[in-house]
Amino acid sequence: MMRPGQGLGPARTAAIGLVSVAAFLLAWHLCGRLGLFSPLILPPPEEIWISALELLEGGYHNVPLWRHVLVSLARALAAFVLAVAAGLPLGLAMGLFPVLSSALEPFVQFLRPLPKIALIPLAILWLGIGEVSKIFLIFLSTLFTVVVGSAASVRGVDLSKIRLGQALGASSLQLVLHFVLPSALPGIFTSVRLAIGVGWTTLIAAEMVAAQSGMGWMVMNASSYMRTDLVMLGIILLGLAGYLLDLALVRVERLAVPWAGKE
Amino acid sequence: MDGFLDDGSLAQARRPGQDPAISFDGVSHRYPDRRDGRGTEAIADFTADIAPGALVCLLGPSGCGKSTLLNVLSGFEKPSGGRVLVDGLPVLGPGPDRGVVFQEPNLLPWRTVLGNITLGPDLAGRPREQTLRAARRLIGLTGLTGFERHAPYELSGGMRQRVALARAWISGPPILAMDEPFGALDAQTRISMQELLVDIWGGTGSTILFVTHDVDEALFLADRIMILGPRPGRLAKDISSPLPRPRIYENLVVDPVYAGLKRDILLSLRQPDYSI
Repeated sequence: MMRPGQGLGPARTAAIGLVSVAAFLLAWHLCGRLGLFSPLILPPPEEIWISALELLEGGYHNVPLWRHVLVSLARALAAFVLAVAAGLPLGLAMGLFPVLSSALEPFVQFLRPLPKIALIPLAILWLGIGEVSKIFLIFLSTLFTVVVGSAASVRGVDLSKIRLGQALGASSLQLVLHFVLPSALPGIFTSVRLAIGVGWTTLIAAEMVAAQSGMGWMVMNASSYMRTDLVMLGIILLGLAGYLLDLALVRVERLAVPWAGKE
Repeated sequence: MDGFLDDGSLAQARRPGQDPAISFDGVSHRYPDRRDGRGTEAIADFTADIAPGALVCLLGPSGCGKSTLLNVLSGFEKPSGGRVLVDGLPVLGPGPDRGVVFQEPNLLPWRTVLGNITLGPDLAGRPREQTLRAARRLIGLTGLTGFERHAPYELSGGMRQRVALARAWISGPPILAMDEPFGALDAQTRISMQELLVDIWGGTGSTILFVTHDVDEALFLADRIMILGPRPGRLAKDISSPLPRPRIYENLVVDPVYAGLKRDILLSLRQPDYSI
């Protein structure tokens, strides 16, 4: 029985997770063995493994597999860095200055939920078919979540923290630097994590724009050759990379805001 | 006036028979309410003078406007009527001349215990050496020795509130506003915190306005107990404590003067209109 607020501990959590993944792979393998699905619909895991080894050796469309992974990661990371660099100051400013927030809110709320795939034609028209338009699409889908999240984190800062600063004679700048920003930091980290998750999902859309490499492009390309095994390999790689990216962010968060959730 | 930051004590800076340290001059406060246009009246025409160096308790049930009065004194809220004078000058906003201890310890989790205590002097850009000396003294007084490098969330509730006390006291503010700071602590810890408060206050001469709903706490701490009537709060009863200092908790509870005073206060709190 689960009692709220009590976890299982890291070792047991990891063990149970591993067992459940292993059981899933076994069931998947058995589906193939028993011939329940055609390999075209659901290739068994061992077949995907073999394709992966082949790709590692010979590459996909003359591009080594590791390059597909790296190219996608480079596009996404460039977009994330730009989105955080632009979105964080903007979000903080919106959180601090209600007038700015009121002025920008309509645009942000219009653009944030907009499916970024709809912007592909405009991205090509404005920025061409090179790397810039791909990065731009991922950038856009990351940016607004960062903006909205960091603005909300600043607005949500506990009033008693502000009052403490005022009572200690802090200047406006000191209030922001020593009270508002550190208070908002855990929330900001959460929104950056969410934003990067959202941005990662846009990778396929971005690599639909005249790409020659990348995991997203590989998935789309393999599907047109009915290589379901490679489609699934691409999906697995995309998922794994996204998972590891998030794991890295959690590590950074623990180092940067060790007090998160502990007050 | 520097209190712990230098060795000059506040008590020497004040001359007896001086003007009141704090004057509430017909203070009223009404919280706006969107549902009706009138809002909620928390405080109505509260007038009182508080002598320098006094430890005054504001006693009353929750919702009687005690915290509102404290917020007005601290400058966090502007009264809708009347004014508060500190050393004869009207309060215009929050400032380091009035220290605040909140209901919750309200420590900054990204700073260590020491970093929380030195927050005020750090913000004011005080010399590091002077600040550390003052902090060390307060850490000793508040029994926090050995915990300087701990994070606030590694401390017990009582220790957190001691850090908050040390933080408020380090710059030696002439006035301290305390809003039920010990309300969330267990009975034993609360008593030792009250003793600690009286000990430190005795050496500084700060004027303290201490909000509480605990009659025993008010009786143990106060020179003077102001009882607030139910909403809208107004001064219902003003008692000068006849209990001599130093006060010993264990002796107080069998002291007939203490018992009689407590009975009077309990009775006046019980009456619906707090008629005097």
